[in-house]
Amino acid sequence: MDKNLKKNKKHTDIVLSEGILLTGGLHRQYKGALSNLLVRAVFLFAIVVGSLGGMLSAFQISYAKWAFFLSAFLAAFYCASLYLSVWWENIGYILILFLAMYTGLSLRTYISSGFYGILNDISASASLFFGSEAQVNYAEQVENHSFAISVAMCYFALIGCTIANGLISRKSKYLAVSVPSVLFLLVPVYLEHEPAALYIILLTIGFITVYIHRRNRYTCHQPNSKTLYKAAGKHILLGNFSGSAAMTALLAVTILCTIVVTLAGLFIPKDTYLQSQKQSSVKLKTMDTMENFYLLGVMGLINFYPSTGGLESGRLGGVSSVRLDYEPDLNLTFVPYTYDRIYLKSFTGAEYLPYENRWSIDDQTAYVESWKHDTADRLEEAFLSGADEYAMGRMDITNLAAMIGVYLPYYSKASGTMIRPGSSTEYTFFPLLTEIPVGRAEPLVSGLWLDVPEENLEAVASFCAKADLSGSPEEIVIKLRGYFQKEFPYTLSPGATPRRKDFVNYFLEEKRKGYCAHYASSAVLILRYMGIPARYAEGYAVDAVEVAADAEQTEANVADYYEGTSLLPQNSVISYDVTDGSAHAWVEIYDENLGWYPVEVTPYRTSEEEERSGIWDLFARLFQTEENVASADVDAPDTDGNPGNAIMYAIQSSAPSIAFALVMLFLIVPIWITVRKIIAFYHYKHAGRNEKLLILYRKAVRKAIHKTYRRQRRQKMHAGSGKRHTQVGLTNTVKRATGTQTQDNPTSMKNFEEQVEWLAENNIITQDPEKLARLIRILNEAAFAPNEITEEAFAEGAAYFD
Amino acid sequence: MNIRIRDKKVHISVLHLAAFMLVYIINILLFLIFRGYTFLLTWIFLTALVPCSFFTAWRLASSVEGFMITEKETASPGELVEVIVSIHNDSYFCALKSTWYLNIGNSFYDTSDDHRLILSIPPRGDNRFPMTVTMTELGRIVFTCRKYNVCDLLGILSICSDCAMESCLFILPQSGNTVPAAIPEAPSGVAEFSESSRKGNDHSEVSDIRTYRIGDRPKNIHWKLSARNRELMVKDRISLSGSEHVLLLDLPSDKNGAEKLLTEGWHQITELLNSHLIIRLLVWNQNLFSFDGYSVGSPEELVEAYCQIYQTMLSYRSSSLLRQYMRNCYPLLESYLCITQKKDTVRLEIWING
Repeated sequence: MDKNLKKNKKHTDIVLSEGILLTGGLHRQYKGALSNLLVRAVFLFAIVVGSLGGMLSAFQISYAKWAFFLSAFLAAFYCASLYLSVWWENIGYILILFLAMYTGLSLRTYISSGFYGILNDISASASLFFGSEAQVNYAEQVENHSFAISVAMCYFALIGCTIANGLISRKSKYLAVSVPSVLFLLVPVYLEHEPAALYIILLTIGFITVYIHRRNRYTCHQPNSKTLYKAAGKHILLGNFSGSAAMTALLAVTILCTIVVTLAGLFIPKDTYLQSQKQSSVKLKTMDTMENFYLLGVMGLINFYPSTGGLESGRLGGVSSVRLDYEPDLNLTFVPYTYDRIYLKSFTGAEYLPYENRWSIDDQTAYVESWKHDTADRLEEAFLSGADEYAMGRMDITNLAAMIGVYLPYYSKASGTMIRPGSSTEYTFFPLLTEIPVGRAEPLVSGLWLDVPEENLEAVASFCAKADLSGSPEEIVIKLRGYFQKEFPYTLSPGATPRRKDFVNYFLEEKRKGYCAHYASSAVLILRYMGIPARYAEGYAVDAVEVAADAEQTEANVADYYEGTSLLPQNSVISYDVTDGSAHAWVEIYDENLGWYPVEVTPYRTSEEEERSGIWDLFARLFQTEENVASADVDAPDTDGNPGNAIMYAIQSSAPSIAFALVMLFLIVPIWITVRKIIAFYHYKHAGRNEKLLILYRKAVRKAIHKTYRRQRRQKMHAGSGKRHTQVGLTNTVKRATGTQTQDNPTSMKNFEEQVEWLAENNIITQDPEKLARLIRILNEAAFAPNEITEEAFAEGAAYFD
Repeated sequence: MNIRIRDKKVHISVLHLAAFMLVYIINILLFLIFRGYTFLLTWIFLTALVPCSFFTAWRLASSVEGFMITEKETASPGELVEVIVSIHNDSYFCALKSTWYLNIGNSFYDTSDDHRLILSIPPRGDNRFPMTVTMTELGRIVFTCRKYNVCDLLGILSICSDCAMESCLFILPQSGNTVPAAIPEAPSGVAEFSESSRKGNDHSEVSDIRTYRIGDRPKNIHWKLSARNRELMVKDRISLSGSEHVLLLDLPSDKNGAEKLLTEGWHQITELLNSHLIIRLLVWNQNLFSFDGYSVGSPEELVEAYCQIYQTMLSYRSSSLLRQYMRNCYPLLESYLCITQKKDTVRLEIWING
């Protein structure tokens, strides 16, 4: 008997069975409006305070808790009360939106500073947890740390309650609320910081009560007619919901949760538990990733290669953003001897494979065994001959966490072997200081070093023309680096090379920014194009400045590590940790006397590139003009002393924003009307014939009501007694209050017959009884029949309302 | 999935169980991964919550009473009537969802539909759900509820219990200004016999003996039988004289025809009552293979008669052999009035019983 349940949209009647109508519309009645409001408010309060406050309590961040609680409490009650009536819901949401915008703009300095303050505190805890030397740090504009956090938390309470209310109160969207709230909780728990018991209780009762209400179809918001009809279509009548039942359930969950937390606290004290627990294997495995995430954000998770410093044996283009953990990869023990960079090579790329985006090591010369430098022999010979300009050094290299590689210093005596993580090796090298040794290097036997792939020729040629490269190899390298510095800014986040694009071409022609691998790869092809034999190299580059700043002196004998001339005073043997920040790619070019030697083409990093810009800044900038940016810098009062003055200043400075908001407020009404018209038009265009006819009918009735109302008013004006007006108004009020239905208005009439008769009586439509009977039949058919009315019937019906 | 525990039918919602298990397992996984104290507490809490929730529903299932009340006993088509479903809970437990399986229908036309009414159960209190209904057809509208489910807070278990909630409402034709069809002139010697004053010769037959109902005439009391049974027994008489005009309702089997005929009959009888006539209303009863007779001397008796007519389904009230049955049941009756339907027109006719 599914078809017997039809609805009359006008009258909201439902056929319960043949000849039995549920009249007066479907209203889900809430017994105890205050109880229901209270329950909704408690949901919001518990979830918002539990998640936000819990996180801050876990990190023991100090702020004015009472202010946060109070603002969350007020916001929760306000949001919950929005569902008392439809008009208040519409108005109330607009008001709170403007309040959020206004406070956000007025107090943006404090909110932004508080937000960054929270991030800094969390960052400090994370840094401590990961044992990381690097720490993400954001500049806080307000020196009063806890005050700024208090303001920010109050604001977040307002925003949190508004968002949560939209998600929970309408349909108890459990997942939409629980997932972000749990994420708030996961951060401190991962970092082994547990929130206080109060917040655990609040968050748990918030979740569970929403879950319970969801499972019991106890949606917090009064469901609309559509929902009720949908349920009634399945022969389900959603009846009264008792506020006291909801309150009792909430209370029961609260008591149970409190008992559990208290008993657990007695039998398994938190401190004892935390001391006894070991980290899970999953956590241990993910710690590196999480650390990257902590340092680089989402970008730290989307790199394709598990490489160090964005480099991995000649594979190019897969790294979107270079993630640096600044953890030691290698440990070097040696005697510093030069102000220049010391290169430790682990990879030599011979042939560039376009579109595969990698350097090949197919050629024999690219293998480690062939790296033995014949120049080293000549340097050794010169050193042993006792010449002053030469020296011999020893470098002990321990692989701490770097990839397997040789990490060979230039002009080493032996080619070395692969150093695995945890193992060490010792190199003897003969540094090239001031004099090039006598003799010639082994001549090149392969033309590979001048080979530029056809696919790259066009891009490289175009680049060379623009860069105006000419002169000796040294001059070309200097010009090239200068051009890169000028036109191709350095960045650690160049983005990955898109699929089906060549790495070098994409860098030279489109992206025009990158990190060392981009410059080195392109430079090799450019130099080859210019007739200079070149090849690609990867490894670590250690700067003398960094060594001087961070190295630790050892007690080893200097004579054991270095003999001969040094460009630096030979003070001591140092131990230096090389981090992934020193990972590097560079170019080797061939010189007839010197053989292969490293040249630098990567531009210097600029300070702007290192700056981090937060989302909050971006948000704030949306509303900033150049003027107020400038004035904020110049005129901003000292926020250390009196926060009240600062707030007033902030309010005054946001006057343009307020004006903008007011203008928007005035615009909302016409926009709203226009949108409604568009929706109505869309609805009509896509409606079936039945619905279209009913839309036309309703429109005609509405017009008729207005027309009649205006006529009645005119008549009363002419009759002209104020006393009489009062009486009429009073009568209507009494009628409304007592539920008496007046026949002056067709909306109070229960069927089409009465309404159509009313329309005919008021000369809105024809008074011909036969035509009226036919119209009533068509309307009944359109409203109640399962099938669509015919085209002719629709045309006939519509003709009455044109 | 249904199981039976201690004579109670328990329905387990697999979907809700899976949803809760998902939350539970996620909590365990988070605990195992993070080894956090918070997740340990929430794990213990969720574990404790399940038995508490089940226990609440179990206790509540046996402490809830339901009632169904109609605002009035009789109504006219189109009249608004309030039907109230009320549940009362004596315990301190509560449920946010209880499902009441309603059957709403017209027993006269043998039509009904099942509905589920979802109500929350407050602790130690009532929840009343008023339904304003309008009937468009005549008949006996019956609202029944034979069972209900109390859902636990987590929505996993539903404890099923029986109940006996019933309420009925008789829909009678609307008294209007409709002009009834003219009463045909009764042929001489058919319905205008003067009632004999002699005892035993009142031109009536005892059709049944039944218990006394308010409004029965004292002269119909069977004193001997009453004395023997120690309960007032009444002779249900069918008058064969002109003192009670015999009026047969020839109800057709189709609903629309029956509606028309009952409405017309109502107006006709009302008109006769206005003329101070007493009507003996006869309606066929296929269950008993006899005519149900109702003595109608006032509008109240007419209401009573119609209510009695509605008690039996329409399909048992109609027959094409009514004339023959009348001859068989009332051989002494010479003629009688009959409201019948011919070609979509309801007519009042005099039928000769022969």
